[in-house]
Formats: sequence, structure tokens, C-alpha cells
Amino acid sequence: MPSVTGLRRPEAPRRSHLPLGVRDHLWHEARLRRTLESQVGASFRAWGYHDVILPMFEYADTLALSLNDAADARLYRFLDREGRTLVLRPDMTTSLARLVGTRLASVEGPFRFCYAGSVFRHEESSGLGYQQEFRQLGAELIGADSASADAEILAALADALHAAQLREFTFVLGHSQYYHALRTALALEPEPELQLRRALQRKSETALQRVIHARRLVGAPARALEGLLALCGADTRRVLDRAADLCLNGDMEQAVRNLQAICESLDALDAIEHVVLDLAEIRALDYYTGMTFEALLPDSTMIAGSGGRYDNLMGRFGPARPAVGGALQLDRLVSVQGRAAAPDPLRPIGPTLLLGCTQAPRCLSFVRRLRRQGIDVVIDPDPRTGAQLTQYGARTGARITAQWHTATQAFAILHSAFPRVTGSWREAPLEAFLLDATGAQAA
Amino acid sequence: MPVPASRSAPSLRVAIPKGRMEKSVFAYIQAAGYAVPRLSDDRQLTLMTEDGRQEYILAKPLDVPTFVAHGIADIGFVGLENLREGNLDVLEPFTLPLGAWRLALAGFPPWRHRPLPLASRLRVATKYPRIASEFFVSRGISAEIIKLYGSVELAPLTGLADLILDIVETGRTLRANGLVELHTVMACHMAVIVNRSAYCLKIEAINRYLQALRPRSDSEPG
Repeated sequence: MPSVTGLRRPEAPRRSHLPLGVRDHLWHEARLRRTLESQVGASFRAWGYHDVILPMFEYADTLALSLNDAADARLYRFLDREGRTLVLRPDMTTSLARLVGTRLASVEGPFRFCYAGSVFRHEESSGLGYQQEFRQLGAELIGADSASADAEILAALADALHAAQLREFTFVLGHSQYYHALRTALALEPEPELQLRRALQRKSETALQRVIHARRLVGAPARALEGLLALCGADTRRVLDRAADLCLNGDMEQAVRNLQAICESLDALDAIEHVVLDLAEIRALDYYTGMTFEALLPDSTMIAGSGGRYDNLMGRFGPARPAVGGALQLDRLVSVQGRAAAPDPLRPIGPTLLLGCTQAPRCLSFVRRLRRQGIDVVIDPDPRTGAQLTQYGARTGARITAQWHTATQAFAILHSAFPRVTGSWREAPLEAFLLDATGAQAA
Repeated sequence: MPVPASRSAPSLRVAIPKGRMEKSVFAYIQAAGYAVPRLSDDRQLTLMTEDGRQEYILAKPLDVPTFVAHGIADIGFVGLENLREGNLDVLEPFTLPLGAWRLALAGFPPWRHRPLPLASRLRVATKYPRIASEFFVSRGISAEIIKLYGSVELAPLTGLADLILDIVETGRTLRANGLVELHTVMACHMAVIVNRSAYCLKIEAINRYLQALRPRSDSEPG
């Protein structure tokens, strides 16, 4: 397909340009990202999920195993010295499946893993900005197939979002088996099936009617298709009742019962308020085998997280094991969080204490003591006059700018963001004040 | 930046295509039982209904899907040709029986007898380069697509292109310029589109609005 939207790539990359779709993060924004990552990680660990760190690239034969054509076309590929094809990981789950299927093949599960890492994809289709590196924070529960395992993943992600101070979020839940079984019941050929998928992806009633007319469907099958788009809503019982009415075979009924059980577990875990059901949601159909979900944040149209049950993946690398998991997109959390929290992202973070250039052993040992307690201190490497140092402190946003006076064995405060801190301060009171002030900041 | 929606009274934002279809879309909304804002002449681009329940955004037709895809508008009205040209990820529940037009390939009369696959160095001028490319690529015809922003009929008249791919409503403009319609590429309707996330997050309000707008008859256009 010829490229007609030529605006996306600059003609000649220059040394000062980044490739499209990757970004620098610095200062306040970088700190927000790290903070969110550690909050989410701590929350996962509290559910018994523990860290796994996976390689950034692997053999294409490994990572491309679980992909459909569209996803395959978006891989970043390159060659090693022997000419074997490597790919940058497009998701974490496949690497994890490789690890569990090979090194942990003889270890009995279940396993609970969490991770934080970047995945890479050529991403051109969404039309909502252009991104190629995605930082994901995820949790996977491998070796458990019950509805409570599905609910556990959702509740753990809900807790992780809470830990990241995001209170308003929605999980849109679907079930891939409901659609798979419907497709089987209708015995659709590949071409009408593709039309049906497209109709559902766009929630197009017009296109759905066209499929019904073209296949001359009547009675229960026609009703099952016509009713599909209305299987969406926050009243889970009502949606599931309607879904049960439309079932054409036992597998569809089983999918509805499974969702029912997941919703009951979520209710017990106090997370049902975040759930909206949508049984016409058919994302990543070939990959997921059961419950699927997308996480949405208010006022953000991009998906903040996604996941589901994938019972067929582990078996491709080793012993078959059921698995369920999900990941949050750090960029989405940051953009919603950062809208309220982050100040101007391009202002450096000033130190708590900026000291004029000094070699005095007593001052340096004091600084060492402060740093060990987590108080950030910068000692100016260049000798400056008091006025220059004050200016430097103001420019870099230091909370306190001071100079050590060997004669008085005390700090002369040149500038301070705290009204109390003026004049001359000895080490002990200054240390006590800083511990108090920064401690109060952290609380 | 998305405008924070007030939590107490969830209001909908709706994008309307400015120009040709603007009046008939508003008339349709009114006939469906929803209030429409009073249109003023002062070039205001966002309009609130008097009850404050809906806000209408007047956008260029091709920009309507963009406002909806980014979640600035929850719902939008857009001709199928502009929807396909934009190729953005939005929901499109149904089309409305409003107007009738088509996207067609046109050229001077001799082109009626020339099979397109045999044409060498075919040049096609259009406001819809994506649709044009898809049309020719899917038929294995290599064509040079020339993007124009208006008065596409000028292209064959001046020799810029052999053919044009453009909106045809009555065919009067084509005839006036000595051109004939060669092939209908797409039958077009006014489509109602919905933001994917908003559909789940504001499902009640959106469903009420869609239910009012949904065409009553069973006859499917196209």
C-alpha cells in the first residue's frame, strides 16, 4: 500500500532528532514515571507477584510464535552476526511463556510474576499519536484456571491503579469463548466471518445486518447476532441474563457462566464497581481463550491496560498450563496522573541543600551524614562569590543555598525557601530541621 | 486537552460537519427529539443546547472523525467517504437516511472504452488519496494519486491528471465540464460515529442518544 500520509516520517533524520515514536523523559516526569512504577510494583508484590526481568530481544522464532499477521508486520527485526533474525520484544507474555516452558518446565506451579519493561512495535494504525516504545507494568498468574484466578488479576490491577492514585477507572470485560462458540454455531465461512468481525469491531449495526441478510439467517441465530451489540453495560447481571438468552450452544453458555463466576469473585473482592461488560468486544481473538479486558481511564481515549486468559500459549514452549494476566500502560497512567500532578516538566529538580565549594572535612562529613539519610545535597564544584552562589541556587531551584564558614564552624544561609531558615545555622539544628522538613514532604 | 466532563450531569459532545450537510443533520437531530443549539451568525464553533445537556462542535467534515477518535467529541456525524479517508479507530453503529451521494471515478468520455488495468501511467486527482490508493491497489492497477484540496475537475481539464475520484451528487458539475462518470467507488451516507472509550464510560447517555437517532425502517441503505 503506497504511503499517502507522508507527514509521519521526517525526510532526513538529523543527529538532533529522535526517531518518531520514542521519547526522552526527564526530571519531574521521569521521577513521576519511576514513582508510579514502584507504587504499582509494590502493589503487585503485596498480592504475592514477584519480579521477573526478561531480555529486551530474542530470536524471532520464539517471539513471533504467538502473533497474527498484523502483529507480525509490526515487529522490529534485526540480524545477529550469524544472520539469525532477532526481534525486539513486542510483549512480555511470550518471553515469560518461553521461560516458564523451558527453565521452569519441571517446577510445579502456580507462578505469580510481575514485571516492568518496555515493549516495541511499529504502531501506525491507531491515528492517536505515534508511539513505538511502550512501558508496561504487568502481572501474570500461570497455572491456575479458575474464575477466581481471572478475578485475582483484575483485582490486583485495580489495586495497582489505586496505588498509583488513580481512583476512577473502568475494566471493560469480554469473553473470547462467547464469540468463538457463536462462530462455531453459525458455521461461517472465512469471508463472512471476517465481515462479522469487522462489523463487531466497529459496532456497526448496518454491517451486522448485511451479514445476517447475506447468510439468510433467521430465528435464534439471527437473534444471537442482532442482540450481540447490546450485550454491553455496567449492570452485569442484566447483560449476562441477556447473553444467556442468546446462547446457541453449550460453549456459549459456559462462557456466560464463567463471566458470571468472575463477576461474583470481583464482587467479593470489592472491585465489581469498576466493571463494564461488553461481549461484542473481540480484541486479539486468536490469542485469548477466555476472559479479556481493557482498562480505561476517564478523559483518556487510549487504552490504559489490557489482558485476559490465554490457556494455549504455555503449551507451545513446554507443559501446557492455563494462564491469565494483564498489563498497564505506564504512558497512560502518567498522562492522566501528570495532568494534575507534574509542574512544568522541563524545569530541573533543585537540590534540598546547595553548598558553596568547600573542602572542609567537618562540612564534608556532615554532608555525608545527610546524604545517607536521603537528603539531597549538591556541593558546588566551582568557587563562586556569595552573590553568584545565591543566583546559581535560585536558577537551579535549590530549597536552601548556604556556605560553610570555617571560622565560625557554621553555615551562612544565603537563600532559603523556608522562612525560618535564615542567618547562621550549626550542623545539628540544620540536620534536625532538614529531616523534619523533607520527612514532612514525603508524608 | 480533553475538557473535564462534569460528573453530576454527564453531557454529550457531538461533532457536526460544517457546510453542505450541517442544516440537515441538525434538522434530523431535532426531529429525533433532541434539542439543537440556536445557530448564530457570529462564527461560533462550539454551541451549547439551551438545556445544557449537549454541546455541539462545528468541524470541517474530514476533521469530525479526528475529534471523535481523540475523545473530544463523544459522537460525530460524518459522510462515509470522510470516515474511510480518515481511517481512524471509531465505532460506527449506523448510517442515516440523509442525502444520497457517491464517490465516483470520472474522466473524459473516451475513458469509457479504455480498460483501466491496461492504462499506462494513470494519473488520478482526488481529495481522497487513501480511498483512491486502496481502490487501485486492490485491483492491481498502478496509478499515480495526485492530492488536490478542491475543484478537482480542473485536473483533467488542464492535463494535470487523466481521471478524478470525487463526490458526485447530481452529476451536474461533471457534465458542465464535459466529464462522465466511469465507476462508482463507494455509495455514501451520513454515518453516526462514537468514541470507543466513551461508548463504555458513558454508555447510558450515548445509548439514549443513539436510540433516538436510529433510523426506524428496516430497509438498509446500500
